[in-house]
Amino acid sequence: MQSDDELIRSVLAGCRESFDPLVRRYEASVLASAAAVLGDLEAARDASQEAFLVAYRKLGSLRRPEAFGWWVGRIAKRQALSHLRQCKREPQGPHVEEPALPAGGDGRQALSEDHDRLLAAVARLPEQDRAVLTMRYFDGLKLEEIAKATGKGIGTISKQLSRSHKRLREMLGDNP
Amino acid sequence: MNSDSKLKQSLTQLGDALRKGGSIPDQVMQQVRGLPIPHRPRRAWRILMKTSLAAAALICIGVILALHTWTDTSSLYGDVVKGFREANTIHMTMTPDAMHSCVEIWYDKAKGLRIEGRKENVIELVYLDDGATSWQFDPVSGKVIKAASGGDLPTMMAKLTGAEFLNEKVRHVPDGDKKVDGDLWEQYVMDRKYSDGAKEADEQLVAWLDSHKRIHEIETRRLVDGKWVRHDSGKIEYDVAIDEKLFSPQFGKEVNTHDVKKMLDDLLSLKVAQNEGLGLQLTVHKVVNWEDKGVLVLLSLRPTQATIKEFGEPSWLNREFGDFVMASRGDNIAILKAPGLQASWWLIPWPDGKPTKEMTLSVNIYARGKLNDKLFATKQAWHKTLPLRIVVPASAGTLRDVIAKEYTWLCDVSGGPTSIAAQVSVVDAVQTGKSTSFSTPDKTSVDKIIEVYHKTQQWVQDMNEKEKAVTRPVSAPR
Repeated sequence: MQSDDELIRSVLAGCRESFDPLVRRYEASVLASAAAVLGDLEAARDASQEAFLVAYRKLGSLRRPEAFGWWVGRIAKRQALSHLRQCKREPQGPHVEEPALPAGGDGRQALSEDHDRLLAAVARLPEQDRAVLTMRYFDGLKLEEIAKATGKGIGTISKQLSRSHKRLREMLGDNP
Repeated sequence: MNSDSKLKQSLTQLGDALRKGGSIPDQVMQQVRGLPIPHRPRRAWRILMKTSLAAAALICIGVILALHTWTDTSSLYGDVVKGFREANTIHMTMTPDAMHSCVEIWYDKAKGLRIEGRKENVIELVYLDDGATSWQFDPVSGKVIKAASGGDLPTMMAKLTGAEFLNEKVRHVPDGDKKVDGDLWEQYVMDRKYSDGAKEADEQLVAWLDSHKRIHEIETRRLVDGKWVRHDSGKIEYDVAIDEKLFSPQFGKEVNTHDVKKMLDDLLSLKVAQNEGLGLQLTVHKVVNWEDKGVLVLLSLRPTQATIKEFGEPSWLNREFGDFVMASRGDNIAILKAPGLQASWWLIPWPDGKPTKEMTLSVNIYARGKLNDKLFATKQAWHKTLPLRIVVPASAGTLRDVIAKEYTWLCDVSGGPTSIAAQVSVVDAVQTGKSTSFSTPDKTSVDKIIEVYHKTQQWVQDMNEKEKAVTRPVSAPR
């Protein structure tokens, strides 16, 4: 598997297709970041798409390629906030209010009720903790990779994850 | 399976479900395929563009020169550079963008280069370069920045024309050829997409080259309402008479000259702590305690002697070796970049919230440029975390005093197109992570930076307290 750094170099060298694995790698955590702001999975998908496009345009300004996932997550948050402003509606809190479109509606699948509930709980985590958690479980990054991406120590990351697990268990009534 | 394992499994499954749920990659890639290839931004250009228009135009030209690798081997562009190299004198007039400004350039093979930026016929900036030393004069402030030369002057002249596109896919368009004094000037055009989302080329870069392939005119056209409209242009004359007084670095008695090389040398000679890795040397030059509330630390990253021996002396042609970020808690309040050098100023709080006599900083360093390429090609790590042990001195005054002193130095040293680029900033966490920054540090920026810093610290403290308060179990949202 090519590293983020290799893929980013490849895009900057002229290969647009190398951006595809980056999108696939961080799709889930970016979606979770946007959903945490918008509280609506479909709107979050739109914001996520825009976030990846912004990231593509600004890819040359990314100084630390190992932080791509963290960076695009931040862009997604900003895009989501922008969506909220455009819609001229108040934030509804980090609550995934409605499930996605029913399966087969337009090829997109809805989340199961359990997953919907879990995503809502993830959305309620503090931003920093959520970013670390989604990088770990949604993007499948190792602790060392998250540490490098966020510029924090492995110990700190480990503690953040433990704290997030505890909070999620509390929110879900210890029944994930 | 315990609940922790079950939670981890559920999270992983949720990640998979989110990926399966839509078609984000396909839709993103569909649009990406229609977008131009992203490029490394001309960062210093953008920073400097915040200054006045004509001055910005002039500075930006200088910075662009400095940021690019010289290339003069391609046929057409190589001929353009050759034409400049063979000329005894050159006179160029460039009118960038739609600004009411003009950049005029004089070159004399024996005396050097003069660039003058004017806005509505008022000189806003003068840049002189004799091939060894450069001077930049700001008539408004009376400030002169004396620094190293920007590099090879004929190459610099060629860059200033903006004719580098002749390196790329250009076409000869005979319809636009001109007959001038019996010589045929051929028109070369490159089409490209300028606007975001443009489906077809909406910008043309045009150059006219004589029968010796010397460049005489250059133009940018943009498509407006279906018609090509000239956006900016330049004219180049060769071997014309130029008054030698134009190349004299005498700017009057009232000027205030800052010798950037000396100022930097003095700063970098200070050493509090040092560590090495990846062929780079990380040095702490200053540690200043403010009111026993924390320390201001100035660090720099430079190539080691061994790296310099391998890759050559840092220069504008060989400028990037590495950069760094603080892994320890801290706020970056200023950054300075020069060839082979990144220096930055950090406000570091006490590690345990209480004053201490010693502390260890943790710094992530990253190899860049040729050094990065070498480490990358040989599959070696190109980033590393280095510890630095520092001793904390007695308090030197208030935060305002401490920052103001450093910013005054930065004010004096920064601003020249080929000297160094400095920026002061602080991340405004309250404004969702936006950075408040000033490319030309002054007293106002000191006040603003301190205001934003305090606001951010207060916000962080409030958030921490709120976090502590949220200890009660929260019921599921649905």
